[in-house]
Amino acid sequence: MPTASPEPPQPLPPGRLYRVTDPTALDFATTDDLAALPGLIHQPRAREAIGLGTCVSQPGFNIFAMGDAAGRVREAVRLMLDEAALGQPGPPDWVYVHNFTDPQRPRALPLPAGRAVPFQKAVHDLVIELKAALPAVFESEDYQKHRGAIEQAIQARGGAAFAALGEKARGQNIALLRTPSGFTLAPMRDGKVVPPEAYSAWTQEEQSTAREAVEALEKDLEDVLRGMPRLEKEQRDAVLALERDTARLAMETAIAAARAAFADLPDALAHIAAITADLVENIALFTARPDAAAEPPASVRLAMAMERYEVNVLVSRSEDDRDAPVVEELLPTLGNLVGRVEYLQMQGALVTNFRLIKAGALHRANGGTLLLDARSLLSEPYSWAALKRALTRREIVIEDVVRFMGMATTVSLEPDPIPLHIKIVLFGERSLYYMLSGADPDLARHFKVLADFDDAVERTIDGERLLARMIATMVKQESLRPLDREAVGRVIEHAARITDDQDRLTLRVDLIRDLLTEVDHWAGAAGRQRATRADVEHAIGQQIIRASRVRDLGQEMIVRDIMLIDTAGAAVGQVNGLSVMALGGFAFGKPTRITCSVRPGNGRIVDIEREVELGGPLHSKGVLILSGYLTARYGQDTPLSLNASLVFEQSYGGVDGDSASSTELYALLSAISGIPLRQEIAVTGSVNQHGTVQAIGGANDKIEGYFDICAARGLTGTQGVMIPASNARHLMLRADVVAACEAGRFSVWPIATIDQGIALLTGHPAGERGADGVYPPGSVNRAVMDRLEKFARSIKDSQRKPEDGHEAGRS
Amino acid sequence: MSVVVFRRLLLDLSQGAADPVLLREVAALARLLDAELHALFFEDDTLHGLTGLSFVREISVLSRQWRPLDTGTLEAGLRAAAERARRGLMEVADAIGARRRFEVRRDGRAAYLQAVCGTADIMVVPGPRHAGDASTHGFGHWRETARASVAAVLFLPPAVTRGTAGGSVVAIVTGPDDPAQEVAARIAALARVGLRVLTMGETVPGFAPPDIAQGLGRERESLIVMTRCDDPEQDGAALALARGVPVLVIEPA
Repeated sequence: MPTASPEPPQPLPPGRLYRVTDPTALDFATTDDLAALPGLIHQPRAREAIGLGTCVSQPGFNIFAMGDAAGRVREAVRLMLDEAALGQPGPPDWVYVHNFTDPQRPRALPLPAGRAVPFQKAVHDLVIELKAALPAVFESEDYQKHRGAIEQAIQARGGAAFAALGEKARGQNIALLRTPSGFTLAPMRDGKVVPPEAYSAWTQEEQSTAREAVEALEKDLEDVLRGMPRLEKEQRDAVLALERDTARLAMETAIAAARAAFADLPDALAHIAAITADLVENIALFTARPDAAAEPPASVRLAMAMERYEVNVLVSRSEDDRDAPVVEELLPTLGNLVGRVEYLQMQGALVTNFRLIKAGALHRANGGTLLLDARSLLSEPYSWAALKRALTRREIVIEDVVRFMGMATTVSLEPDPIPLHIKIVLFGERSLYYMLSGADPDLARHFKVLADFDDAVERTIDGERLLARMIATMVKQESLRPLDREAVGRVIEHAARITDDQDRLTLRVDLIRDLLTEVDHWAGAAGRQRATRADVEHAIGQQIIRASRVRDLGQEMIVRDIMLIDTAGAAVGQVNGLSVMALGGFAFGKPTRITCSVRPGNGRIVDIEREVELGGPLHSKGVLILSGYLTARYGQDTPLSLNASLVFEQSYGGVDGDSASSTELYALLSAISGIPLRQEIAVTGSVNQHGTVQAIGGANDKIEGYFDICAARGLTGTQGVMIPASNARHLMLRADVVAACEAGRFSVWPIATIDQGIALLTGHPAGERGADGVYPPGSVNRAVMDRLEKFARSIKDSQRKPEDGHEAGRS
Repeated sequence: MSVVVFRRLLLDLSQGAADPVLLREVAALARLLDAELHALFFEDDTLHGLTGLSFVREISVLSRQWRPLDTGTLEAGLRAAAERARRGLMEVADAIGARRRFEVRRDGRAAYLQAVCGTADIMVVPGPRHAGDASTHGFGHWRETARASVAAVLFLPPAVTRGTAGGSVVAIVTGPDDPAQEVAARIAALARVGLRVLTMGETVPGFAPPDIAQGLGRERESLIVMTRCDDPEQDGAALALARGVPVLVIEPA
């Protein structure tokens, strides 16, 4: 006795095709009545994670915040971190100063917060003061008197030696003469040098006496000249000692004043002492006179030499900003991240000094938190690796990649590394996190805290109220026109549509904000001071229109019968499937004809898409499930003896996903049974081996895509879409679709099983197997079984004929 | 009282190129007075004669090595010295914008100067650049020639040890009619610096450097102008050496 076949399902009532916002959630007139709702909303998991990350100071407990609403995640985390930073002790200031013992390695000095700029100013003022005071001191009468006395005394000693020599020479009638490059001695008579012809007239004895005198005096002259360097050195040393003593005395007061202001800072005092020592050794820098005739490079070099006494404030905090810093770097290039050394061009050469060291984001955020966009970080060459190195070393090393790569040979600096105490927060999409975690094991080592942000919230009354306040907050932040309650309700409904779920609301603030901005525009264009539901509808419609050119072209091709989609009549082994295309953030449904042909065979179902490598693995899986279904349903007693081929007609791109597997099964059952399928119904849904229809994605887009085709050809009242019953809660259909359904001109059927679906598509009951194991006559399953048995006999016959022949041969 | 207008500064560069700083002082004064800076390089005939004496040789100041004094070496040395002097003069004078002329002459220094020097000239007398210069034969000729001429004399210190820029011009005078006051005032006005007048017997007791230092106190001067006195020991050279600034000595009215 056959059991009763399930009744064909009824279309969904209009109220289940779209969920309107609960009016009790909208207890306000406009968004102006709602309080702002800043911060991290409805994210307990992420909040806990960030709380952990900010509290644990051990290395590696940095945070990777992931979520699809990157903009909102950043804003929310920023607010949370700002709150956490309040009252936290701020980091010290950092300055770079000249290293007087190794100029290529500038020294990094930490100073208490807020002291760097005063230190810079104090040292600068000290130098300015000395520049004014030292020349005056060195031109003073006292100094000149001392120096003159030293020089004159020593020069007098040199002069005296020459004078004695000159006197001695003159006593022997020998003249001491200056030549272009030195001195010479020559015989003299009557106070005049003797010319050669006169000398020739001298007696041999006179000549001999003169020659001997010259030879003897030459030795004296040589001795005097050899003593000159010693005297010159003596003079230099004496003058230098005087200069140093004078400088020390002159600087004493100014240095003491500078030291007094930083008496509590040993590093600062040590640097002032180093400056003092260097000043004493290089006093000429201060006493050099401005010389208009000097060449510009010389004056520039002098100015650059003076720069070594300055202080380069790398990071400093103001008096009002003593909390731990929270810094966001939007362009994390290597230089922007770890700092850089800049260069100046001078006469064709690149020169640099410690004053050209520039801070990076790590310097500015040191002692606090640095926020980075993971995609931006990974897009910049060397930045990710440099960040990991900094976190591993726990210090900031300014890296010059151009030098590392040998692209420049300019002499550069190797500034002192600066200890790093920082919390890094990376933002990124989930896909990016999973890809990076798979590719780079260091990610887990350095980013132990994962803050996973939900993209949607449950659509309860509280959820709707929450979203209404978020909308109000955005309206205020962006200075937009207020929205009335109906407009807010429509935005909430759109938020549900974005999630493709009646019962969830998106938290993608970026999408909502964009919509609100457009709503504001259209409200303004309509001359309204507050935005209405009509403005929201118009804005949503305009968003679709702007993005729908490809969709419209596809629909036009179907309406013109270039792409063959029947929306009326019936056909065997042919059904309308539905797929979703996503282009640039806009998704739309597209009907596709699926056909099937069968013949006797060995039980193989050929998936044409797979054979030509247009089908993805999920699609292939769906097709293989069909074999399982057929075997379980019809092949329990005898093996399946058919071959079937399935194809997506006029499909020239890749196909993936299993959302068409139920559709393919309907085509297969129709092809086997020979019972035609209604062509005015499109189908979507995956199926399992037991014939249960399972949920798919994009239900709204698929329904609307098929509705548009039917509407273009004229709605008949028999057209509609079969969707998995479990997708009913996802429906947030367009108003025109809902209206058509309400008017009985279009239908959406929730399908739970293949039997329900095949009954609706064929107009025949599916048929339940009776106690005798036989399906009732007139049912689809009976027709399928009969055809399969026919195939089996056919196969058996074809196998027996050669055997019979063989036997006949034998006989 | 007639006003002395200087048209030319005569500078002997025969003892080697002048110190660039001093040369700039001289060129700056020439430009200020709109006078020509006429540099002379005298090739000493005496040295040429010595090349005929086989046993005479020279010792280099730099290498302290002896070498024969032959004609070729001497002439090359003189040419190089003249060229150095010329180049030094040109660079400095052109940078400052002073009119300049450079001339090489074969001795006859005294006769030449006697023929060309006039009251509109200033003869520039550099201090000795080497400790041995003052003891050499003929070193004082230029100074003696300058002292004997009717030209004014600008004594330079061996080196300018103090910054002169912006310093006042100091006139050391014997009374209100002393022409040094008018010359100093004119130079101060042209240079747009202050004028300080020290009157002998009133603000300063004498010409000796300590007396002048006492009179100036801590004031910084750029130039001292005084009238030639009869005492040859107080001809300005000692004052230039002591103060480290140029001293211009003009002829009495």
